[in-house]
Amino acid sequence: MTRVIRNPAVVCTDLDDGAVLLDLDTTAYYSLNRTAVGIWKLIGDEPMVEAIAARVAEKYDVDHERALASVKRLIATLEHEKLIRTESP
Amino acid sequence: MPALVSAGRVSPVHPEAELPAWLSLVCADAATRRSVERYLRYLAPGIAHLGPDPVRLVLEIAAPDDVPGIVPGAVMLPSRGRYRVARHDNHLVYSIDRQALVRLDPAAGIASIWFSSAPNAESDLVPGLVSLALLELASHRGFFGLHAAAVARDGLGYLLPGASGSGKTSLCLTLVREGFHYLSDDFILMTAGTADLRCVPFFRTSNLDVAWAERFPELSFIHDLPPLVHGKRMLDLEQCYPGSHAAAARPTYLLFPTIVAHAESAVRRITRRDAFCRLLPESRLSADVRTAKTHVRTLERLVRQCEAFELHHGRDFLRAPAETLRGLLESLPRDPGGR
Repeated sequence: MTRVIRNPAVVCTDLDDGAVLLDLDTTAYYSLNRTAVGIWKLIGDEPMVEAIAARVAEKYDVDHERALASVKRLIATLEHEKLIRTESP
Repeated sequence: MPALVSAGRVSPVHPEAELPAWLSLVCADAATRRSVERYLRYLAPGIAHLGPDPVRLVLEIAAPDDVPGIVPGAVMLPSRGRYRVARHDNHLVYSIDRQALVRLDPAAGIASIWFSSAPNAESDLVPGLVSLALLELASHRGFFGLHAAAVARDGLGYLLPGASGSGKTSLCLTLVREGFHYLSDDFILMTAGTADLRCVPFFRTSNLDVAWAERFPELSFIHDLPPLVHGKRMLDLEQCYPGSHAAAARPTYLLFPTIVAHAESAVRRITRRDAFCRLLPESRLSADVRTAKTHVRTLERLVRQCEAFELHHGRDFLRAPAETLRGLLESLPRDPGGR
C-alpha cells in the first residue's frame, strides 16, 4: 500500500477549465486538466493510492484496474516533478 | 486628445515629490543618499501605499569582503533569480555573495541594505536592491507587483501584462493619446479589497524609445532628455498629456500583448487557466511562502474578475496605431465580468 503526501509548498489554483499547480520552492508551474485536478484533490482527502483509485473508478464510472493505472501514471509524474512524495511500507 | 504643454516645461522626473513622513532613509554616504532619494521619488506612487505604518531604509556601503553574507543557522529558502534567500529569526534575507545583502524585517517595516563599493559594481545595483526591499515590504502589506501596463476609461481597467519587448509601452502610449487614463506602462501593484481587486502604479514615469518622437510630434522634445539604458528617455506622461494620470483602477480586461509579423492585428479570447499561467512569470513572488500564497490567491481573483485575451499587434498597428487599437478594443465583449 503506497501513501501519497503533497508537497506543502505547492499551491493549487482551481479555475473553470482546469487547475494550475505552482511549486513555490522552484516557481515552476503545471497545468492540470479536470480529471487530473480531481485526482489531486482526492490526494488531499485520501492518501492511499488504492483508495484514490477506488474513488476515481466510482466518480468516472470506469473499472478499478483502469482507474488504478491512471492514478499511478499521474502520481509518477507528480512525484517526478516533486509536487508529491510517496511512502511505501 | 489631451492638450499638450510646451517642451520647455517638461521634466523627466518629479523633483517636487515629497517623501512621506513615515518613510525614513539612513545612509552615511551623501552621494548615495541623494541618488536613493531621487529613486524613491520616482517610486512615489507605489511607496504611497506602503504607509502609514513606518518604513525605514538603512543603506551601508561595504568593501566586497565586508558585505555580510547569510549567517550560519539561517533557514535557507528557495532562491529568487540571482538572490540566495534565507530566513533568520524575524528577518528575510536576500543575498548576492560579496555584492549585496538585503535584510528585511517585514513586521517592523525595516530594510537594511549592504552593497559593495567595488568600482565594477553594476550601475543599477542599488536601485534594484531598493526596489526589491520595497516590493517585499509591499507584498507583506497586501500589495503585489505585476509586470504590466495599465490604462482605464469609462470605469473599465485594461491590464497588459508582458515581458519587456512585448509592446506594452507602444500600446499604452497609443491609448493615452486616445484619451485613456494612464497608470503605468510597465509595472503595477495589485491589492485585493473586500469587494474587488484594484491596481495602482508602482512608478509613474515611462521609458520611451526616441522612435516615438518621429511618430507623435508632441514627443519630439524627448531627444533632448538624458538617455537611459538602451537610449530610452524617462518621461512622466502626465506632463505631456495633462489629466491622463489615474491613481487606481479596477481591472476588467487582461490583454496579453505579442508583436506579430502578420498584416492584421487581432484579439483572441483565452481561458482563465491560460491567463493565470501567463501571469505567473510576470509576478515577483515573495520567498516567504505565506506571503507568496496570498499573492497567488490575488492573481486568482484577478483572472476571475477579468476577461482575458491575447492581443496580437501586427503591421497595421505600426501603420495606424490608434485606428487599429480602437477596432480591437471595440471587438471586446461589452459585458465584462458577466460570465
